[in-house]
Amino acid sequence: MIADKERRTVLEARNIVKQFGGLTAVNNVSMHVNEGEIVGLIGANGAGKTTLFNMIAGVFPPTSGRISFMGQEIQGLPCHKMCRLGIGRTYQIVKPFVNLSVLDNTVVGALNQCKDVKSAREKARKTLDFVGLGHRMDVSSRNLNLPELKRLELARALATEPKLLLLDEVMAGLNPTDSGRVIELVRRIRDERGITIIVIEHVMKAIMTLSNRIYVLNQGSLVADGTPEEVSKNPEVIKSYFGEKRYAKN
Amino acid sequence: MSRNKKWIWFGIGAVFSITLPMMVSNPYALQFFINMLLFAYLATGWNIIGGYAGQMALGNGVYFGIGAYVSTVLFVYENLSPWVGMVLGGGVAAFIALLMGRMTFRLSGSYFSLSTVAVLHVIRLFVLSSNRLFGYETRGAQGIYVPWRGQSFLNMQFEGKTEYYYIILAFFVIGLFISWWIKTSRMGYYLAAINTNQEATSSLGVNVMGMKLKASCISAFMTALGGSFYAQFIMMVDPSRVLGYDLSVQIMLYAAIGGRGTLAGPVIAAFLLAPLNDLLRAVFGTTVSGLSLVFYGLALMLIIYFIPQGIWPYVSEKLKEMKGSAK
Ligand SMILES: Nc1ncnc2c1ncn2[C@@H]1O[C@H](COP(=O)(O)OP(=O)(O)OP(=O)(O)O)[C@@H](O)[C@H]1O
Ligand SMILES: [Mg+2]
Repeated sequence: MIADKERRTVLEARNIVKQFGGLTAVNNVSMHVNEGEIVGLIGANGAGKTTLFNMIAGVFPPTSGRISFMGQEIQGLPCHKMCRLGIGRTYQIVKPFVNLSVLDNTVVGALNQCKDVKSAREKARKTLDFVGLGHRMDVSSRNLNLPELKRLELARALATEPKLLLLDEVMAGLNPTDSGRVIELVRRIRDERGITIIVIEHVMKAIMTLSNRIYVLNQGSLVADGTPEEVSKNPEVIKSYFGEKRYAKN
Repeated sequence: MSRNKKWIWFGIGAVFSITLPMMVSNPYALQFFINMLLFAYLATGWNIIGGYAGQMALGNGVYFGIGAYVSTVLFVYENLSPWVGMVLGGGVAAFIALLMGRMTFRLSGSYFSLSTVAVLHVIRLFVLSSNRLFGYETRGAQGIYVPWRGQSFLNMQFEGKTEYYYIILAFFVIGLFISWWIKTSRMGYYLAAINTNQEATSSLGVNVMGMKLKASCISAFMTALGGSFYAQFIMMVDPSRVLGYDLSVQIMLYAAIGGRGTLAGPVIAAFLLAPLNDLLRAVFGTTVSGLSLVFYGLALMLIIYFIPQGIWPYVSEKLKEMKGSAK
């Protein structure tokens, strides 16, 4: 494995703050992600994880702070520009285009980097095969079940050919078998496609096995970061995230 | 439907529509068909913003009025050919659509619809209360008559109705082609995505605002051309005829009843309902005024009640079922 310092920094966030009215959802967070890493982002409900993603993906600008992507300052750019630069994301609450087939959903993403509809359809087909939805291509996305919808979110984002992929709880609501498959898929996305990934996940086993490094948020603030082993031993994390009871049980 | 079958239907349609004026000698009957084609064309134009992109614009009639007024004023006072005037009118309409879109597309759902009605209302009142617009005499509610300058293609003036029929047929075919082209291109995918989830669409690299503005401008341009044609055809413009609410609602209804977002739906609904409207008016118009509207409204309500998804989606689903059971 290449040492941390030799790798290119894909994403760097410095002193990011997001306030909604009086509420500080993200409080002075700094983090960085290196090329080829899978970085975990954990924290209790309402810790500000999705809010952080939304700023990186351009849904809204940070109240203050800087975000740079591949060396370029990007804070405040709109969503579609972030995507064109190479930041793909999935939604915690799936957002399929219910009026379109699974294939057409993916074509919308594939058009991001394709010159014409024909090549976009081809790429969308390949992407759907890759995520294991190839057999459901012509079905209306209205008729998919939750595990399939999570895969569709993945396929759509992947089809845009991102350099950095933000995965917001792609395993939530899945049974252990299905989430095991998704873990495998996320790994393949990094290994076979060379895409750098940030994952938000509540399933601890998943995040611990997948991540090279983990950031821990608590009420908007970063409380710990490091390798999975370091983080799981950090007393601050045990107290704020795992909860004393849960820790005692383990 | 197989490719071959599609072409056969297309051929039948082409032969029928081209030879129609030779079979129909009665000018009133031809007017019937001109009306059908005009509404099919307008509904197809509305469908681009209202159907494909799912933005319930209720004031598309405003572009119809702008097209009618611009080409007419320029023809009457500047002697400019309506063919040129209508392109200018289309440009003005597209520009206004751009301005309006910038302001109103940020609003959500029904607020957007309401704001389009408001703009129609404002422009209508403006025209109604002004004797002159931009230095040209437009005579408020009275409107302007288009003077007869002799049969000429350049003036878009003809003694019979046959030429008008062919012009609107060409409009309709070109409009349908534009609609088909949009639907099957990159833009069509983007508009369909915008229709269901704008946030997810923008996360896939689509400039949602830009796409909606583009769709709105194309729709406005097409509608304005229809207005110019109509003004030349009836040889007059006045606010109640070309800036009425009913026109906007009618255009929207045809597209919605036929099947929003489908290529054929708005056309089919216009072909069925525009003649129905004319027919009811011809039958009841002389006996009890307003009765025709009651029946027309009743027919619309029944269709919306029984097939809310639209005529064309309903029919194509049934056809598929029939094919499925035949196998
Ligand atoms: N658009 C918004 N407007 C106002 N408040 C918001 C908005 N988005 C998030 N919040 C608030 O910010 C805080 C952080 O929310 P966020 O969704 O980022 O949490 P999260 O860590 O993703 O939680 P979860 O694990 O439940 O998904 C919450 O208190 C939430 O109510
Ligand atoms: Mg969240």
